[in-house]
Amino acid sequence: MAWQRLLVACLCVLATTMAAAETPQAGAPAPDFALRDGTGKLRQLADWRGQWLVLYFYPKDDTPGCTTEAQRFRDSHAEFAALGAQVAGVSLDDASSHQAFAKEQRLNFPLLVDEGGKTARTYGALTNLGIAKFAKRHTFLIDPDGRIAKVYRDVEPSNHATELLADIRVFKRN
Amino acid sequence: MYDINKYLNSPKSSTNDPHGHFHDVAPWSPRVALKIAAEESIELENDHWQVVFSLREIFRETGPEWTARAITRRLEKEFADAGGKRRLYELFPRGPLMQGCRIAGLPLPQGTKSLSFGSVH
Repeated sequence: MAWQRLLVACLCVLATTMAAAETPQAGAPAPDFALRDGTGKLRQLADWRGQWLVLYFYPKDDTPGCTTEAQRFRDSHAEFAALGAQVAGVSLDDASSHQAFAKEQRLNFPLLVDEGGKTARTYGALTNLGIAKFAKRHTFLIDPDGRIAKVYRDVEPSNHATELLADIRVFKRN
Repeated sequence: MYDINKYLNSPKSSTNDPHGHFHDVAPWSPRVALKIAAEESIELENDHWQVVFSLREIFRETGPEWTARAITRRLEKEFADAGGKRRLYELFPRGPLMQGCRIAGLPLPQGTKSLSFGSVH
């Protein structure tokens, strides 16, 4: 029995290591995606070429943390725009859910539909519980050349927008 | 999470000052903004929302110590390409600060001598 436990432990470590290795890191080209927003419009990574892109994954529309996070991005829209940055949210919710959430909160940036979680998985931002899948609260700051400038895997919804604005200013200065 | 019905059922709740301004940023949602704007005969369009959201962000950054002069400078900069102060007054004819803060669910900033842009110190 001991060897079985050891085998399982080894497989777990291997799986974790492989997942980490596949996860996009800062400096690497951002994985491409083609996702529809809440209105049905197709959005691709290339659409934001030449601008900074805040690609943020979040677990679920209209839940407290995700609402706070989206509100902060909404309220900071002018500051992001002044820095040449755009924001796009991604979750596994469907288009009607995105549309309702965006309308209720008057969001001024697109929410992208990643219904199967393929893009979240590519970015290492998918939680798969078997019976349920949802995106992790991870953010990728992508530079105007399409490279990942910074990865955020420990996000505090209430001050995340402020953190990103500060980082973009630093990146632009350097 | 804030219960919107609480506000809708009691628009003059204890969180408002006598002029209808909220004391903090918590009890607010875009739906509340639409209701207050309708009372002010303003139909909110994208530029109105930009002012409202920017006011809320500035308030978050500075807290209740925010000043009319700093807000004025920042909003005029944001709307410089669209006509600056003139555009802001088109959006909020009774004063970008007075109407904007009320619709954004925020208290009036310090240094607001009149309830609009023109005579802040």
